[in-house]
Amino acid sequence: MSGVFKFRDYSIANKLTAMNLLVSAAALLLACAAFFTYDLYTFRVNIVRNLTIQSEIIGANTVSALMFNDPESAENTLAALQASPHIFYAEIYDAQGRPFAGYWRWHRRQALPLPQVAESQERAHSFDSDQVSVIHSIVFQNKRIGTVFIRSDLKSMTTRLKSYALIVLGVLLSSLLAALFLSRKFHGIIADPVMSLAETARVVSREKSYSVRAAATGNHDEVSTLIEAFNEMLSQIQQRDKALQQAHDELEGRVKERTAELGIAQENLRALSGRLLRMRDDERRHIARELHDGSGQVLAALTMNLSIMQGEADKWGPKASKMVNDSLELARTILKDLRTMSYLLHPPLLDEIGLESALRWFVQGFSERSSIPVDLQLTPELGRLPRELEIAIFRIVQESLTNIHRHSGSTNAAISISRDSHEVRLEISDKGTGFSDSSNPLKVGVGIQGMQERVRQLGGEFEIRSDAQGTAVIAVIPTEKLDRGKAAPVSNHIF
Amino acid sequence: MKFIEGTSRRSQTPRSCYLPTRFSLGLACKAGVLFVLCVLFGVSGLWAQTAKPTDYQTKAAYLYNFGKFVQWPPRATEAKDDPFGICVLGQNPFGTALQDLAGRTINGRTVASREIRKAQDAEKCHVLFVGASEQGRVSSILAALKKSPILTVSDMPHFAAHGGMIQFVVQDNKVRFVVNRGATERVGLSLSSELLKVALNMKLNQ
Repeated sequence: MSGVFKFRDYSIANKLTAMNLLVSAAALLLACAAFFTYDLYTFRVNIVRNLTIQSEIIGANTVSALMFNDPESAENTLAALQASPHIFYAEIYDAQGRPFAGYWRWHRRQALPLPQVAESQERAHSFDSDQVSVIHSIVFQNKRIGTVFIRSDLKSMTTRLKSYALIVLGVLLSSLLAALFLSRKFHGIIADPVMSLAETARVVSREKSYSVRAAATGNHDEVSTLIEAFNEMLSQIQQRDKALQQAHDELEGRVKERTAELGIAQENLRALSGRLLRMRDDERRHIARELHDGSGQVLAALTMNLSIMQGEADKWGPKASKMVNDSLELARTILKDLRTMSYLLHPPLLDEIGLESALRWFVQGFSERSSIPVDLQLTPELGRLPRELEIAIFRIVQESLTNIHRHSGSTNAAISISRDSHEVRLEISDKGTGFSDSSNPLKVGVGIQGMQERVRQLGGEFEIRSDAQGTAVIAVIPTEKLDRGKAAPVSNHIF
Repeated sequence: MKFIEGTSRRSQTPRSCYLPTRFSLGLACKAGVLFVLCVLFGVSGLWAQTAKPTDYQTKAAYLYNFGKFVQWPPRATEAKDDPFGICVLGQNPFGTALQDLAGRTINGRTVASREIRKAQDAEKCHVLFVGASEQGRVSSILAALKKSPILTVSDMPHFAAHGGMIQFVVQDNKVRFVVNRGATERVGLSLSSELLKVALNMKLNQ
């Protein structure tokens, strides 16, 4: 089959209809052909029988005419054939086969020669395309005295054929219409469940929804088995889906639980490290104050006493004088060291006059102690920052410079601090050898981890970039968050 | 034209008399053959006009044919196989034509022809032809046979008018006959309607 409309692409309903029509038409045509053939056969037989009967009657009625040589009488008898509209010619032949009396329906013409028939045949017939001929012997007292020949047209048969064709056509058309109507009416019994099943399957495959079910037909045929199996399959898929979903949900719940636990642990850890950092700062501040206010004052008093003693020492001999002088020198050195230590532990400038001054003082001291010049770039509008933030920046600078001095081998360093409306950016860089794998927490020192933790506590970002050309420590810390939140409790600490 | 389906019957017609019309013989030759054949097998009353049998040959055949269309009442003196008598009263005009009928049968009886001299001899006759010679005595002859179941036939004029039963008439060169039904019914002869159909319908006094 070719063409756009292929039979196999038709819907089942249309296929059923087409098949019904085809079957009906075939059956009808076959039946009609059989009836037609049978009727034609019987009709021919009947025509022959009727003509034979008529020829017999004519024969019986023309015996005396033949016996007494009276063609007129025979012709009178033949004239009765006017009543048979299809007989157009009849002839009576005498025993010698010569025409005796004739009958022509329309125009009298010459008699046709008697067809030759076997001697023993009393009657015979023959069909031509449009006429039938019957020949019948006239027998009187066991003696053949003549022959009747009747020729009839087959118009009645042609008429019958035509009316038959019309009837067949009519029956075929009306039957096909009826078949079409009935088929349309009843094909639903088969097609609808299949179509509904197909629609359900389409819905399932399109929407991936396994909760729909094909409607049962109430029949007990293959289609209903198919529907049941389909529904059963859907149920199984649905069950598996449900189990899968349950397992998935359970797993997800567990993951959430673990994540939450982990979050809490992380939070705790952060809180702990924050507290540790604050405690360390507080401790340092405390120690610095103790050193400055306690031992520092005592040492200062000792130095004053020694300098007073210096004026009197000349009286105690040169040896004693030298001892006093040395002691005074020692005391002054200790006092100086003590103060430096105290300031490094917690610069008093940081709390009192701010980060800027504290940084300048520290950087200057660092450069003097380490012989590494430091370029300090501070934004003019730095101003005062929350105490915790200032401590963090100071400590990061302190730690970084210490690292530069200890590890980088750099001959100089640069510090830049800038500030905008919501964050502070700190960058400390050197031209040293750098170090690899700064991101691995196991390989970086405790110092770097501490810097990282300080920045994280303040909600900022910490980064170390390092290569062969040098190292840069970058910290970006938001200012707003601190102003509102964490600055307050920290400010309670007293230095 | 091919003919099919027929019933068989033993035909008594001589095969040679059933001449196929396609048989291309000259007209004269054909007539001659027919004449010879029909002389050989006897007159059957089925003569074609072309054969030109004499009127008396035809009349002789008709006498025989009448026997087939007339029913005679049973006679007490007659046996079942007595011959069927065709008699001629007076001068016999048929020549040998009547003798040629010998051997034929009518209703199982053999045809026997004979000549008789007077009407009283006719008691064994079934058909009696009254010759023209008896024209003067026709009334007395018919009166003598008045109660006998004998079919009286003649070709003399006014025979039927005198009370004769069948009178031959030549019309258009053809032998025809008239029937006096009153005469036949009086003696109990019953004539077939077939016979009456071919009888001339005319006044009996001709």
